[in-house]
Amino acid sequence: MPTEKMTWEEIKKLYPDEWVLITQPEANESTQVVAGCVFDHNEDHGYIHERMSELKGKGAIAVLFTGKPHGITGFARVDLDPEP
Amino acid sequence: MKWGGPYDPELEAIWVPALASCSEEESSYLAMILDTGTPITVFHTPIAEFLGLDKSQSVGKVRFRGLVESLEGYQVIVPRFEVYGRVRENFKVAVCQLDPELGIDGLIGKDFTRGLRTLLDDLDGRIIMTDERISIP
Repeated sequence: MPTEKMTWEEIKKLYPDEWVLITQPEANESTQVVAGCVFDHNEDHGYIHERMSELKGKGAIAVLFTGKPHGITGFARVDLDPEP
Repeated sequence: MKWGGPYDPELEAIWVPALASCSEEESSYLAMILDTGTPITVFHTPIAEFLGLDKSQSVGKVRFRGLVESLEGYQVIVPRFEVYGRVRENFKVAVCQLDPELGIDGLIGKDFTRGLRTLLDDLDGRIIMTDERISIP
């Protein structure tokens, strides 16, 4: 069940180093989420994606990580093909 | 015009907030990595599917040829994609199934900043995108 609306700072303190699925997100002019209701939270990113499907068509959501994410490196050549 | 906002320069990558929308009921705020080495913006498949942009909406194929393996995906049109207040409408992105262990939902590619002057201030943690002249001393 979703929590009551909290600020992003409160969410980070309550669910450290977890992925959070947020409903009713509020964002500032930089599109940074500043508040919302936590629908679910988990260390497993894939779990959050599964839960996300339950909210399809029910309004805006946010999927965010409360910790410090890692960097990645991408060594890939991208080929775009116009055929669907 | 000028758009911009803060990012955390202490992180290992340039994580920026984004908003992808197909409608009021189908929109998602995301944290994405700005990767100007990627030619096209990429969404992780679960995010695209949440937005209603599944493979049936494909307008093209995409293949990522990596060092050890290749990934295949599809291209779709996102009705509205916003980063730091800059909105791109009917923006074509690639969709592919990223390794969940990567912990990312997408990459913002060079296609988003094409045609703009983009200033990356890694001291103060700010990105500015503009079509105006930037004076660099």
